[in-house]
Amino acid sequence: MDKSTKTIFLAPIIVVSILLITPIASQAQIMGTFSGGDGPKIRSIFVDQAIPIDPGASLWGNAPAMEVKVNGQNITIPILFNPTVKSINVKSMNNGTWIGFWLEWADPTPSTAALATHQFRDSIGVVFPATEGKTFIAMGGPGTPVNIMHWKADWQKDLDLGYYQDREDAYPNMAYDLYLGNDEENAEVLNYDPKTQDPNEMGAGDPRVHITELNPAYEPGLAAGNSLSQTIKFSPIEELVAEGFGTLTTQKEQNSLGKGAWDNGIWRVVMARPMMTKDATDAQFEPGKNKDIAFAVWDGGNMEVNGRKSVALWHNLVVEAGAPSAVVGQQPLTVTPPPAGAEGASTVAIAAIIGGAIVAASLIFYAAKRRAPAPTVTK
Amino acid sequence: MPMVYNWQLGREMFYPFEGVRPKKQFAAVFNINRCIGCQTCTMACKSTWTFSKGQEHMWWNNVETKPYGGYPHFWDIAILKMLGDGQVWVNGVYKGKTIYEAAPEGKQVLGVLKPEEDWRFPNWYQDVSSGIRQNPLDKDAGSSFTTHADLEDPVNPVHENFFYYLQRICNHCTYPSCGSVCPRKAIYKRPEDGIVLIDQNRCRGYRECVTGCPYGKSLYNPVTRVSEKCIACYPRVEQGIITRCIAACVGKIRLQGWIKPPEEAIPDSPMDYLAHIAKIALPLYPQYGCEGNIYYTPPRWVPRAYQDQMFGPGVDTAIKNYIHPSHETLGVMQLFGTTQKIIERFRITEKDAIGFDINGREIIRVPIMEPFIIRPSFRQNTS
Repeated sequence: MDKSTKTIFLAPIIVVSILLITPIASQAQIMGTFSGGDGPKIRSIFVDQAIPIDPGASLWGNAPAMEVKVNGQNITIPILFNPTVKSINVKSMNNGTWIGFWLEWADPTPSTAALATHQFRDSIGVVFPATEGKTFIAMGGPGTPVNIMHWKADWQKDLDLGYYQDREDAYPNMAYDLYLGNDEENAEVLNYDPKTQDPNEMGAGDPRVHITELNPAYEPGLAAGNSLSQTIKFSPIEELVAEGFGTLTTQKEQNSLGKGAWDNGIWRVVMARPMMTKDATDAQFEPGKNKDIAFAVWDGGNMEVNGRKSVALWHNLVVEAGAPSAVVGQQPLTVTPPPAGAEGASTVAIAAIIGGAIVAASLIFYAAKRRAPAPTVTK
Repeated sequence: MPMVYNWQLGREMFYPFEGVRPKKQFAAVFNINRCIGCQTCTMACKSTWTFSKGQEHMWWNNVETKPYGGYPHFWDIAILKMLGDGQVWVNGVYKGKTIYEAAPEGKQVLGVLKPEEDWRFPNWYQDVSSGIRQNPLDKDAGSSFTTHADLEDPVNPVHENFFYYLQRICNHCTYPSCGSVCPRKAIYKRPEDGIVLIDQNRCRGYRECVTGCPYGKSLYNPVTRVSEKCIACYPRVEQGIITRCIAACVGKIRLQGWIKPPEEAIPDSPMDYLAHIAKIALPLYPQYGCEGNIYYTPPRWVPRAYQDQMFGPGVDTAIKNYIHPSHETLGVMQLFGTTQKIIERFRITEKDAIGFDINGREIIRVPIMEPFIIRPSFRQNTS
């Protein structure tokens, strides 16, 4: 095929490929390319307790699960031809102020790092129309943005380890003399509550304090404020907004909490956030009002990244309301740090109840580069 | 789907974006014949830009020994194999497919993601030569690279057993494939100087550019978890100063400037003169279709077929003009490595080569022929 025939052929191929989704999809899924409330229903049941962040929490066992089929993304380049994830199981609960999503899918190999050129992370995204208008399934469009909550397995691993995965995690026996300009006293602190805890006051013995050789001035992504390069994390979830292909942008306000765990070939992830926020580009959830929702999942072991992902079309989330008297709360956000020496943070229970928007707005992911003076710590 | 004109191919080609040339295009000429493989350029770059954690494997500038060396390993052979047969030139026009035209279904360009280990050893095969003929007993057999006719060429005989150094930085392509594959347009080409940069804030570490650059010059930083590349020392270029790798070159093999398409060539611009008028500077793998802007004076001792594949159809002319330079060409060759400032224009007099900056001020003057002085006999030895 020479250049001219290719030019002629490519455009129809893309158009036809979009149209050809239709024969294999149900009527609901055809409609599902634009939001409009007519996708398959997913229940978000009302509970009168805190939404558990741990996917293994017993409360999640009570929630009804819905199986959502996913297919390789084929609307835009690059296309995923060989998806490995076929479906995800979805549960949702809300307590009137916070809403949580429990997601489960099969992946025989957990990919929890992006520490080499050919290494890609597992991840999963939940997407909502950010405005009331009819919103295109694939990254929204101008004026009709989508709001995305994106859980990343390497961010989860950073939090589980208690430090930012680094060169030594890929090459445990590596040796080096020095990195120019790097400051041995640089420290990063994970898993603290910025509302109530000051990392500068955390002692050297605190397992959340990690000394790093990274000098922010000489790490380009970090210096530029890239969300992926931040060594300090509060959450494995990144909140994003997009208004069409290529416009995906990290939100200034990061409100989501969550946790993912891989067990015996299954990823289980919880993502939770306040139902109402003051973030203009956030989807807002009102009790009793349905919201469209869609999903995307990446298998890092299958080199899935970018548009090479398995996607579901718009579904419709039924946000069930509870009796007004059942709305719980009046307790501030609390973070229970993992006991010193404990592996992982599986017991972290984060109860975020009343005033969700105000509290969550303070969970600013970008409060990076805060340093703890911990000169007595030795690695 | 836009069509753009790629003068290196002598034809239009498919490119995902409109073909808008920058006001000025960063370019350099590397004279392979002069390189001694000392890697001073490599270390100048390393110690300036890639000394941090996560950049251990990064060599924005590298010098590899051809025919076997490569960083990442076999970066060029991998793409050439995929482009396959049909990389044919007829009367200076490329009849084969570019990496855009050969893109597999579902992808923007033809590319390959090199695994981590391919980036670890930038100097494997350093100083390793091609090897001699396949059958040592058959003097007509030729080596893998050489035909018997090459060796017998009375004008430009080539070496049966050869190697040469290939100096490589980002080509700051006119049609950058790294930028075309980035779904976020996090890679952009600056209109003022044609330098191609990755926005460190917008990059999401997808590694589409690492896959899509056929020259292997986009690199993933596993510490920041996003990708980086050669920035053509833009803070220096913005002040009229040449890049670190070019400034540090011990062998004076490099000259930096600005290049135009041939029909707009400025006769007294060093790059335009060397590429379009003297025709001793050739693009690297023009068949990729990126219109790269690092140009090479091909090594005169290397088999022609091998060089034709690497530098396109101008090799014979370039070597002929380089071996027998005109006075003007000889003059421009003297300007290599003489000043830290970017030479915008030059003038060749009977005796001198003169370089001017952007304001027309003289910044360098060197003699074309060093004076020939006969010492008195009592000073003939220095003991």
